[in-house]
Amino acid sequence: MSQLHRGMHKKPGMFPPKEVLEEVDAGSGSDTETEETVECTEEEEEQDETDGLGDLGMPPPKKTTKSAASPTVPAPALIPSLSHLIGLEGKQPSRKYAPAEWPQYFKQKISVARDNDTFNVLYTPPDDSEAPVYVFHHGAGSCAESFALLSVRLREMMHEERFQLAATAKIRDENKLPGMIAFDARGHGFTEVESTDYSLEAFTNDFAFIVANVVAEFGLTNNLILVGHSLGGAVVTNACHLKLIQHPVIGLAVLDVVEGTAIESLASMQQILNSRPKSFPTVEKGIEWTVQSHTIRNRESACVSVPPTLISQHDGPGMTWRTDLMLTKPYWKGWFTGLSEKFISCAPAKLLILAGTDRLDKDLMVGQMQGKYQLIVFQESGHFVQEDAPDKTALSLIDFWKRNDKVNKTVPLFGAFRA
Amino acid sequence: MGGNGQNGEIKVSGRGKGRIWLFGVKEKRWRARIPDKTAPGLAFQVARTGEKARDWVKTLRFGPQSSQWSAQCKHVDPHTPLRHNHISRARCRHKSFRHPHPSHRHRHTPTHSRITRPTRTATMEDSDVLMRDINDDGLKPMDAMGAGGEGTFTELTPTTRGQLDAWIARLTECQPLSEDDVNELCNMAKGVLQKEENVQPVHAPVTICGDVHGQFHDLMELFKIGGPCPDTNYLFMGDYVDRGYYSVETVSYLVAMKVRYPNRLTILRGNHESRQITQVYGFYDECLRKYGNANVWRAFTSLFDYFPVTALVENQIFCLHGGLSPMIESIDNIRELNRFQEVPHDGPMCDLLWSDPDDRGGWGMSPRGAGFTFGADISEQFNHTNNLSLISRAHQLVMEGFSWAHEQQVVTIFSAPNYCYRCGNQAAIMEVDENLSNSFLQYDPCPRPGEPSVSRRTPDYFL
Repeated sequence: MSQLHRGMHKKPGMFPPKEVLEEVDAGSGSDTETEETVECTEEEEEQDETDGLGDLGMPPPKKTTKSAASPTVPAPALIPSLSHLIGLEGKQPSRKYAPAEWPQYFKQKISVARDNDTFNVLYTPPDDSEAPVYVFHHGAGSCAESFALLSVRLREMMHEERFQLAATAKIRDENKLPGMIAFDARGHGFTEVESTDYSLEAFTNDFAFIVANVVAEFGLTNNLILVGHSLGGAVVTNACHLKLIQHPVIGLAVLDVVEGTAIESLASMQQILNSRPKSFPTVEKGIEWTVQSHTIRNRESACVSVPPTLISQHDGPGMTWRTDLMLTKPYWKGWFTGLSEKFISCAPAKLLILAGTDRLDKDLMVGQMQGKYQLIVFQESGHFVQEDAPDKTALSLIDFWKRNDKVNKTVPLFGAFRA
Repeated sequence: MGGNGQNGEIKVSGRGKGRIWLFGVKEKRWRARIPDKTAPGLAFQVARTGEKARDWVKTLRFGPQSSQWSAQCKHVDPHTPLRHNHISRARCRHKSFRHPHPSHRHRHTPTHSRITRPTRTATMEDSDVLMRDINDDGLKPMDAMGAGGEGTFTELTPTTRGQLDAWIARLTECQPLSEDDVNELCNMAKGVLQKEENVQPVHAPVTICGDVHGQFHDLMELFKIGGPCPDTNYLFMGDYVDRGYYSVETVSYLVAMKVRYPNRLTILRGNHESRQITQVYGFYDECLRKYGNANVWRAFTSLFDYFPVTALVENQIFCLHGGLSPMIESIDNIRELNRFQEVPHDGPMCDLLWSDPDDRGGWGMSPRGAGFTFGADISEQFNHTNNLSLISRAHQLVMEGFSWAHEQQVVTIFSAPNYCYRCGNQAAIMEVDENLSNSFLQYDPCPRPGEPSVSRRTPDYFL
């Protein structure tokens, strides 16, 4: 049993110390036994109900053979301590593209109201005031659950690392688990906003409103790290640039969006949108298409992030896209114009994660060569880096926090650190 | 050339002060001297075409600063080392000296150690003299080269030397070596480089260059502008690979030259001389593309572990790729490092290759994700502790090709013009003469027929 666990743990490159394993085994022995059976008889068991797996708080573990086609799909995350981390459980059918839901990934779902609008916010509180809180903004056509897997990985990895550090007696009680705030932007997911204004300004104001509201409601004093994917990257950068976030922001992480290349690609965007299927008979088919078209290359993530982007069709059976991206077309250019300049001029530490080096435009290339921000490239990932490579994204975001939050512990041999 | 100006001499009188000569001879390299009262040393603009040079004239004539400029434009013959004869030293802050025997200039001899130098006052009369033509001097400094007169060259057998020369000839044409040749070259280079120190001592005169980044044709242009190697001594401060399309040829050429002329060329390690970085930024892919496998990449990246990390020119100018480290107080700290390893993620060796100077004082975390930023107070203290006059480093793109920082205690040199074929920056190299006074040559990218066009894959989906 613990053999199995070790095997599973090795794949994401984070090998927890023995203590973790033992605790894990002791905590959820019956679950892991079931997994072992499942692993052995993968194909045959596929259609069966995997009882007890729900307690893991994780989607079904059978994926190793099927996911071989897309190499970025990480090893199944069978860390039972997660359920204890998150403190929630959910039932999972074992179908391959079965939709998953937010409770496996976030602790709370709250509604934030503003006049006649309500925003759907997914929230996981931080362990204590020392831990950072990551605030996520998804891209156009996506939803808060796009960050579901990433937010779980962030907590897992911080958790594993804490045990590792404790094992080597280096640092104790340092890495408190971070908090997460993710929400559906206007026109997306379960957020309901009357206005059809999809300008960058509107998104930015929403973002600042949500952050202020959630922070006030839970009385957070933690440092924030803003993470935006695609359009979300433009939104968090704009919010940072306009200093709309009153709370201390120590980092700004932008995932796979660059002004120059985004504007270049807008020309072909309509064609890309038109080539998408208009509807799917079921949610599962929608997930299947998303994975097989390599839009999202991680099945586990697609299972949770695709369902909120689909809605039952008014006129007939089946599901269609919840967000009609063509409605936002007049705003596309405005979303990205000036992004590079704003990003470089933002005060907090900046991290740009891209799915390819050739995506940098001139401003960002110059900025990078002048050392203005940190660039990380995941070459094997697609556009949805946080979904395709959640492990690596989580590690990068943890390192980013550690580097920029904690005042440097090294004592210089001469001179002093800037206050 | 001797001032005859046969290709069209242009004389301009700008408000009674400026007088500009442009001399065009066969190779069409134009050099404009633009004295700047604020900077030590001198900056020269180098142009490939007469048109560009004429533009300078227009600028000088009509530009807002025309009355302040007293500029001379001068042709640079690529095969004649012009340096050290035409540089005004008056504004240089570095301790100047002139070797009493002209025949010793351009030579690396032990007599150049600091102790034996005459005092600087001897050179003050040189200030603001007009440039003299090198040919007037009758000085052919390097003609004794290549005749086996160099002490360390005796290590190379005639066969090896012939082979190296053949490789260099091939590389000069921008033809990559075969896989076997690369392996052999890397093994030879390991023998040379492992004997070098973490702080490799270098003698003046020397021309100091920054990032090259696989822009092979611009490297060839650099040698035309700065003078051919080995007639001119060069010090490269890292980042030979990645980004540009000819990383393989560039690094092969420099390594071959290093093995062939170990005392004429110093190559330091940059942050891109690492296994991890080259896998992301192009060198790895280029090796796969050109050789069909990763063996060449493996050979070069294991060679990179042998590159020295810093150099010290005449115990005065400290050269390295990135910058200072809070864990390194004195140069002796660097000598204690074990440099024969992959560039670490943190620690002093990482900092030397990653840090940047900052306008703000003190130490700070570098926004790059590795290394630190250091302020003028840190540079001042480091230079004082180690009795240095200047920290010369690369690593950062500067639009003019070079940039002073920290009250001229730190200079940044970047030698990849139009970096990544789209940044529109000038490149520069810094000539340090035997008196340790410096001058900069700034230049633009050379035109390349048949360059692969810069086309980027448009991402599929970007909303």
